[in-house]
Amino acid sequence: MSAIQISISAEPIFHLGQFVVTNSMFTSVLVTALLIVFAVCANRAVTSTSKNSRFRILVEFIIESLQNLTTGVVGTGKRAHLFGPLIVSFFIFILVNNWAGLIPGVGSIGIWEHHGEENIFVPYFRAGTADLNMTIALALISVVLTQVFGYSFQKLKYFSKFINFSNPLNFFVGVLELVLEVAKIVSFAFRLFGNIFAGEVLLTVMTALVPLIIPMPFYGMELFVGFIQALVFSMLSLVFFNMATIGHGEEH
Amino acid sequence: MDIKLDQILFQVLNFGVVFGAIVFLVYKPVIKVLDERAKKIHDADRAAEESLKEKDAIDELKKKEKVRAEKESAKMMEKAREQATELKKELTEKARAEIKLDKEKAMKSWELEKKGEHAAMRKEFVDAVYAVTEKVVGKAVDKKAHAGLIDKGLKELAQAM
Repeated sequence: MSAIQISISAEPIFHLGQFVVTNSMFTSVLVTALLIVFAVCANRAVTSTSKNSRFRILVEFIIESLQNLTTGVVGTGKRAHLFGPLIVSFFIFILVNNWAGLIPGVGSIGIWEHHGEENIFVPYFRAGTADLNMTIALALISVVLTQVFGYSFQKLKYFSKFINFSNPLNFFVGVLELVLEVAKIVSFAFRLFGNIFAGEVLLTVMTALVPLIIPMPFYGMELFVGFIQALVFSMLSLVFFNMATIGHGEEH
Repeated sequence: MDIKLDQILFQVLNFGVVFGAIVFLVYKPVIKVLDERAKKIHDADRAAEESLKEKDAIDELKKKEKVRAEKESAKMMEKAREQATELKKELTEKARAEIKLDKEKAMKSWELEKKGEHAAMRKEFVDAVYAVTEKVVGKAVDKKAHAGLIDKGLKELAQAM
């Protein structure tokens, strides 16, 4: 049995000048290209006046389901129109990146590199969300947008939850709120990364131990985990966006 | 774990591209289609509701009209029946009168004819009696002189017949 090699960080596969391109970046670019092709096809299917195709029905089903999910949380109004596109994009982008790691060849097609006396296998492809840099990027987008939405709905009143000198207790709560915002980034990033990376490790180990049949249920489970994680990230973002736009005492 | 700012920025950009593509090529057109469909369904629902209301109103009107028509037809039937009875009565009476008139006319004509026949027969009989008597007696019979006798004979003959 060959030695199992698992790297917690994405491996560089080539350089563009000083810019290092890792296998997860390469895969995520391919996923982006795939999603652009999907978007173009979906646009043609939706805007065509011919009869409904199965693809068009699928696209409408995905968008409508996610929009309904959004309106279920924030109601039908300005918020739904503002958050809907982001939630749909988060969900589809994360879902496809999660599932990209399950495509045969991802993680197994690569090159052996010599590092001193050691031979290290560097795969060409790695799921985008199995790289902490991507999950941090997504978490940053979510948390920054939460602040933007909070400000655009509540103006300066929004920041009063962070900076409040009315009494020492409120000041301390404000500091905690600030810490919470940073913790959100960490929580978002590590939850997604941890789940997807753990899934990949699990599949690698299972495949290395028993290559046939046994890994199949784990593949099914990873499909489910990929879906759930995309949903969790999207829903949490939606809830944070909504909470930021509602002032104190407006929740009820 | 290598956390690199350039890679994070790259992924932010990457997501931005996907966001743009999905929003402008998928989300907005699909939402537009869904909104249009929802509006169409709403309009169709409203039109169906209005049609139902209209149908109910028409049904109600139909029911009222039916009742009215039934009443009117019953009245007309009654009136027609009365008229028919009256007409029947009138026609029967008229027919009876006509028949009576015809009968009377026929009777008169028959009486006249009968009288004529009687007169003719009488004349022929008288002539025959004259002829026989002249032959028996052997001379001419004076009609005026023997008129009483002849009439008496005729009456007796008529009674015997």
